Amino acid sequence: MQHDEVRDVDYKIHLSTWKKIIRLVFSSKKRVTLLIIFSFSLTVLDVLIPLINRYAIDTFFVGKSYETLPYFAAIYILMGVAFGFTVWGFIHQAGAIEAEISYELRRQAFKNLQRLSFSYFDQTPQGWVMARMTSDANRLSVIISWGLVDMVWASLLMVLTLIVLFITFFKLALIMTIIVPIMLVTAYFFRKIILKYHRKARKHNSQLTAQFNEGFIGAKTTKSLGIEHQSIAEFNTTTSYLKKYSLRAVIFSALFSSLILLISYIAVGTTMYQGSVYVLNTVITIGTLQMFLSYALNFFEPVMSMTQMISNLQNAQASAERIVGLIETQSDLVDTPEVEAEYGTIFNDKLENWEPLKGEIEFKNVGFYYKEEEPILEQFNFKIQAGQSVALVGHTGSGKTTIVNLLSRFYEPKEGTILIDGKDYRDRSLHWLHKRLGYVLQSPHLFSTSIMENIRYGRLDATDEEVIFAAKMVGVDDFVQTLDQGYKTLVGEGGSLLSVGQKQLISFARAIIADPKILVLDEATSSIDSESERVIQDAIGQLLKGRTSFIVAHRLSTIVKSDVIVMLEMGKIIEMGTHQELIQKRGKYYQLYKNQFVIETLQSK
Amino acid sequence: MRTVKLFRIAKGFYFVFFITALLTIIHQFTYSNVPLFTQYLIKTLLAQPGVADTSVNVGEVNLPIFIIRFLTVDQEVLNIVLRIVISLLLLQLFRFTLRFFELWLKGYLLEGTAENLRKKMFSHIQDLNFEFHNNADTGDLIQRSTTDIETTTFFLSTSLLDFIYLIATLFFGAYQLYFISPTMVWLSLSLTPLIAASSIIYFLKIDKLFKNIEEAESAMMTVVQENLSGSRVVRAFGNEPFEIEKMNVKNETYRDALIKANKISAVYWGSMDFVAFMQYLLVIGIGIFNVRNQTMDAAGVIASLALVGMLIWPLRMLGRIINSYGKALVASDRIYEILEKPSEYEIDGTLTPEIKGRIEFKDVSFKFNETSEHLLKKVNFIIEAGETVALIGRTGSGKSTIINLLLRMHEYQEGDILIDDTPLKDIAKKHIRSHTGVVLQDPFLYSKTVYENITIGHAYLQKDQVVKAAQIAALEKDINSFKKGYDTVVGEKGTTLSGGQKQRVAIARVLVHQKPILIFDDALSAVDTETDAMIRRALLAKDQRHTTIIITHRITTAKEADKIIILDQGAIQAIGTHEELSKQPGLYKTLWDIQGELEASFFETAKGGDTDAT
Repeated sequence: MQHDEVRDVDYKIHLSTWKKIIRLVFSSKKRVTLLIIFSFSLTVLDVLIPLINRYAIDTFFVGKSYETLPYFAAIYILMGVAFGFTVWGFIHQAGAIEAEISYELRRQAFKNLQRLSFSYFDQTPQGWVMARMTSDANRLSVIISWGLVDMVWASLLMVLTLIVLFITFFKLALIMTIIVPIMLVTAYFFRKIILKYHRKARKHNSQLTAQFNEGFIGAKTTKSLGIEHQSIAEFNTTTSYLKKYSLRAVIFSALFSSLILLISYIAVGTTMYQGSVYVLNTVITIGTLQMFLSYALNFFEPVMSMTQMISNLQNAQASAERIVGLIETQSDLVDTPEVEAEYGTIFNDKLENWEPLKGEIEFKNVGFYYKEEEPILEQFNFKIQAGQSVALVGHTGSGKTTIVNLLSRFYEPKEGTILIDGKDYRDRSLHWLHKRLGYVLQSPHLFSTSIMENIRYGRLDATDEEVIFAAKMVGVDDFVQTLDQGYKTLVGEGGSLLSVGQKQLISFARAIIADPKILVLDEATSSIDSESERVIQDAIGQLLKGRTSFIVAHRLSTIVKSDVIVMLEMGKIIEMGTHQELIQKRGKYYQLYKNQFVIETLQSK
Repeated sequence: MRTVKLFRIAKGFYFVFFITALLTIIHQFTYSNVPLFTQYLIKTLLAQPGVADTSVNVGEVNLPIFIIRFLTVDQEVLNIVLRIVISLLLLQLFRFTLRFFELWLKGYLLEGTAENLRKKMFSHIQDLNFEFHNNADTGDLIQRSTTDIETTTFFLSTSLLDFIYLIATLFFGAYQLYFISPTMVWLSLSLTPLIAASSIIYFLKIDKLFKNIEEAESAMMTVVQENLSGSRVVRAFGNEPFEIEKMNVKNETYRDALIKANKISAVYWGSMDFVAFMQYLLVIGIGIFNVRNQTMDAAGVIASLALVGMLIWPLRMLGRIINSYGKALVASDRIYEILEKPSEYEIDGTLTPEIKGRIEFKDVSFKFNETSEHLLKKVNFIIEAGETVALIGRTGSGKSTIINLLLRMHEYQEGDILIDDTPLKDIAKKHIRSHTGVVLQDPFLYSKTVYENITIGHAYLQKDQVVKAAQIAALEKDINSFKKGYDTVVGEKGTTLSGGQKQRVAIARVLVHQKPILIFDDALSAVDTETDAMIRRALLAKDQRHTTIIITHRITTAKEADKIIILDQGAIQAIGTHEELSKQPGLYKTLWDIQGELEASFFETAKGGDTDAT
């Protein structure tokens, strides 16, 4: 997967990507039609203004006849109203379309994210997904909505202006027809260079942010290694590159706009001279000359915005591809159509067809890897009865987390099968398992809402009483009662207003209220004071009661109480049995037990 | 005062600013002359017989006298026209050249001040003390170093010059219009306060709405972020539909906030355009009136229509400029808040003696500030050069504080630390740090290759030195298992290394230099016991003897040290060798007993299920 923020893409615009985006977002035809109408009317008014001024010059200022003055004033006011209304209208519509496009992109991306499997989340940095949903979605929506206005306005304005010029006096109009291609070629040439430097600058800019980040996070290490000079030197290099390329982009845009203006003034000058000749020969009026001059003077604007639009499209090509990718990514872990037919989808469960879950679990010849060349589990076999508690112990990388991931069907075995109540779990829906699974993370994940809602997350239709009952069971109720707002207390982002122990207890209550048949508990390694430790141990006891449970265990007290201890090393079970049995064996478990005892002694205060 | 400080950010660029401002003013003056050429042209044409029914020629054209002279050298009409065109084009060429340099300088001003400030910010933050970095919120610091810098430099290089542009345009527009018709100036300017006021009101209002938008966006992004980081929780409880619904609500709120702000923009720009239209109508009306009075001619009216634009359009920016000023003030406050924090090198020693590695703590006490508790209380010990010492103690006993004091990350209040009999306070901080190799439990690796991480800061190192360090750190095998070997990129953006691998890279990083003092702060916790022993054996086999301090939880590691220091609640409980300490009652003996020498009695406890370690 490509996670680079800035990619040096070619300058081609891949229409297929844009078609997809446009198809994705144009649900609201009404607004788009209105926007096109307003852009159209804006163009017409822009073309009309020099025409009406010509009339005023010829009739009132040169001709000095004033009979039509009231009508003129009325039309002028009307045009003013129409202009104001049009400007209001296109801003209003374009803004609304912009908001709706980004809304729609985010909605679809988010919905798809809910379908994706864990391999996606494990491989994709969170920041990457967030950037797609913010900056990319925003950039695309701006380009599509306002770009549409620009495109309609610019192309139509060029065509209409030329038509009016040709109808009025084709000999003078020829000057403009020569100038237009020159302008377009110049614009194309410069836009390309500017875009190149913009991209380079952007690349260095994101590098700069990364360096700020690393510089700040790693400041202590940098100090202790005494290498500040190097990190400062590296930073200075990047920032001067950023300056260099930004400045180049500035210089070329300055050159570009000055040059385009000069070209349009050459057109103005030529028109002035030729026009004057015609005026002197009384072929055209002064008003017509002035009209030609103002058209010539304003012609560079549509050229500028048209080429800007193309440049924007090129620039946003990568954003478009990334966001389409996000919306279209398929999950590599889905229910088969047959299973969906019987059990329903995650958005529409067919609860009536769901068998109860007892909790007997068997791993049969299970093989698994995240990367093909690094197998984690091979020929893994293992069975437990409903209601048993299993402690998984072993070093990092021994396969504990993988077993839990497979059991929870966050991943599926690459080989072999996992049977729940004697049946391959792939023959039932994801939700069938997940709705009966309780999962408690090592570092509990809370949502930034109230304590009440966080507990209720385990079962969304639980009543307040049930929530409080669950809280009492894990012993967090006493603490909640001491808070001013009780269960309505907000926990802050990621639960930051609570202590680690409190967060753990809340996540236990959340699991209890779900009343799962299978419970997965990834125990915290971090030490907490002994009082909280006792409360938590009691809560774990409550949590495990009457459920099949898998514990990635770190604390001795939890391990010792389990029905079965499974000691893993390099994806294999090396020892298995009760605590007594394994201690008597004096093998690896015994070693681990002793080491852990020392660590816990040192950690306790 | 805040404004003065804000302006000080552009220090070193005042001259560029001045030149740019001057160019802007000259540019706008030149620009105000452009409509006069059309005026002159039309005047000339109107004076010709047959062009208009009645020839009225009122007033002079206010072009500079040398241009008028140039235009009137020849009385032939077409020659005059040609001269008008040529002089206009020359003037425009001059103007666009000015404009080019003006834009360039503006860019230089923006990028130059920003670069300057970024450099200052980065190196200053590097120089802030340990405590600052311990409590720092990285996201906030990045915000200050990027967005806040952009906001201030944008104001200084763009908004401020826009303001000068605005004033110059208004002034020169009014000036030129005054020569054609003073009435028009007064009438047009009478609308100025209205436009200015509505612009200011609009931008204030929109700013407030933007705050709502930002809040709505961040609330929405919180949902996304929590959904991503909690994806396991979401899946495990099967709450996907609930999450989608939650997101929809926030997404809609955000969308509606955007639409609401946009509605106001639409009304503002629409009505402003209407007002501009009416202003043009006013010009035409006054024009007609004056032409009838014979105080003005068609040429004058046409020029007025162009000049009045100079009075209308720029004013719409006023609100934006004021808004940008307000934001820049806040942003510059946030920047100064960091820049004004004292650098840790304000208190520093000057000596750079040769360091052999003898360390002596004499009655050292330390606490963070007046109110807090002592983290170290009268600590005394001596470590001879070349000795290996193990530090053992419970969490919070002061082990890490000793290390931080030794590296002068903190300033100790009482007692003294001597390095080879030189007081630590007299030695330059950078000197002691570069002669001490520290490896932390959770080391930080840079987003570079393994090779660069090991040689960091010392590009001159030879490959064989690096390989040797990697061998001692028992890292070679791991590196060879990577596809790209030493060129594997690690750190935030690269391959994820296991905790043990990270620790060993960090060990190689300090071993590659001949540092007299080595400190391992629980640095082998993620490595298994055999590798741990292997690394320590390899260290001992090295030619150079290092003074080595090891903080560890492993009794077997401590056992092999020359000396063991036991810490308890910031004070030294005991110092001695394994033989001594394992015999006298205390923490060390307890641990050693658990570890297994007295297995029999321990086994009894284990059997009884008494596992409460406290």
